[in-house]
Amino acid sequence: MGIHFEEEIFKDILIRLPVRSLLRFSCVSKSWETSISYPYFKTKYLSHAKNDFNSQKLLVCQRQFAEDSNSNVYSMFSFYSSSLSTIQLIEGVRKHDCPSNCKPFGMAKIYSSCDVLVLLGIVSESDKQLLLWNPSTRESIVLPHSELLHHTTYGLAYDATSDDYKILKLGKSVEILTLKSGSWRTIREIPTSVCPRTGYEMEIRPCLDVDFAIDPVVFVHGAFHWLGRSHNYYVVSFSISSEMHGGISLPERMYKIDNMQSFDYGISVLGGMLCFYSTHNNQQGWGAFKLWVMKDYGVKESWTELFKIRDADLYLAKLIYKYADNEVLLRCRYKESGRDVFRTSKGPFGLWLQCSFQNRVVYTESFISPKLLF
Amino acid sequence: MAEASSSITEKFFLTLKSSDGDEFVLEESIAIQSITIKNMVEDGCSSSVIPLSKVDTETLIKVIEYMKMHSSTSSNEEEIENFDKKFVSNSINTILNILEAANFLDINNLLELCAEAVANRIKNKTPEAVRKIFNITSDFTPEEEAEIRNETPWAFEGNLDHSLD
Repeated sequence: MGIHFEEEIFKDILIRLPVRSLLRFSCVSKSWETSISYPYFKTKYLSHAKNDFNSQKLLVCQRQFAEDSNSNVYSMFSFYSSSLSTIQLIEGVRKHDCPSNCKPFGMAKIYSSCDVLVLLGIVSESDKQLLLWNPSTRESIVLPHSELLHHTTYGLAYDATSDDYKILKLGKSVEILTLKSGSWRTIREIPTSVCPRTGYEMEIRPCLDVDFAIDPVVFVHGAFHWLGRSHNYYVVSFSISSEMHGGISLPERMYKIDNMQSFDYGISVLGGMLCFYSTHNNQQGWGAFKLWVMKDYGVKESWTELFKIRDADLYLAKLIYKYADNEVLLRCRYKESGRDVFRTSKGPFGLWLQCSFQNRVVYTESFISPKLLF
Repeated sequence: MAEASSSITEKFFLTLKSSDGDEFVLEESIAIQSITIKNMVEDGCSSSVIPLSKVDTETLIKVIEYMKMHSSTSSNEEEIENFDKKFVSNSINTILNILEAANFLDINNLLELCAEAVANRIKNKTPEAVRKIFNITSDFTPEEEAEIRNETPWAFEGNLDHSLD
């Protein structure tokens, strides 16, 4: 039977299909191909995907060790993505080919994501690459980089003012790469704070986490943000358009708790709001995770405690995602097992992921070709 | 007396006529979930029969079923959810017809439900199956088609669904 659809209805269906299906259906007919590759459709597809829970994916990088025939141990990595649904189906887990024809030997680190695009670094014996990757279409480009070091991280965001993606490198200094220019610039200005006791100006340096790595840079309110430390803790901001530093001070009650054996802090973005979280442990076996949100951006008094989890075995927790019902997804490390696991406040998540994983990011499935941006 | 009169709410009825000529009488409060019908009522066209020349009888029955379930104050969320699940298990051709009717009648949540259902049903299908379902003849030459397939060969791999429903 013949169904002759109006264009609009047809798009209502296309917009709800996964990227992989659309790439396959490009060969159905010339009119299907035109509809799918039309830039306006791609823009509409992205705005639909951003608000569609099923289009949000968790991407993880998993590291494994293997042994060759001469008993030499070597490191391998793989990328997996899955839905964020707490009802995890094994069919929903996808293994990704290594981007840019890289061999999956060595180490890979997922640094950041901006909607559809993922920024990652691959360090193998032969090569070091900084890549911009769209896992949904499998396209990637290699970006210039000076070094990929352990104490370095990268943030990725879109600047509407210059209609360009900007990549921030955070290490000993702050550097910026704009995709259209293709070259790195060092930012001369250094974020500082004045010590209330001595009156001296001190540099605010990025905090290192318990694994001696810099936590991911987060993007909110038109600026990159990271956790910094001088005599106190600060959230340092760097405006993507004006390229100026700013600082948000944290009330002491949020991080100062006496007699703690270990502690870990981090920042994240939940529902467009900057948030701060902490894990504290003391020698008496007390452990707790606390999450705070800054309800009015830049207003110190608006920091509000959202919730806490008490768990004596909890050593470390990192915040990944907040669901519509305020449930959160965390990456937790426990003292007993020493392993990292994903969990929500209700229970375990992602049992498919049995091996150790290095890092993760949430991205949106959609079209944006990194090749067209550079 | 005052109590009795306040409990009586006057019910208005509309007559909808399918493209096959069958007439259906429906409460106005249920029918105006369709923005198209609502506009007709507001323009004063409701006194006579409302002709729906683009909707056949079989489809109109389904659409009315849907509107009754979604307007009824007695049906709870769970009932609606179960109804929707069963509703989208109709054949893909039926859903496509309902989708067209939902577009014409401007019933947004029905349109979304059907579009989502169609996308779910076809997402794992082969291009050949999609052509048959939508009654499309490929206008690509074999070389052109091969070129598209070669651009993203991974999109054509795995267990694809050849069925037509």
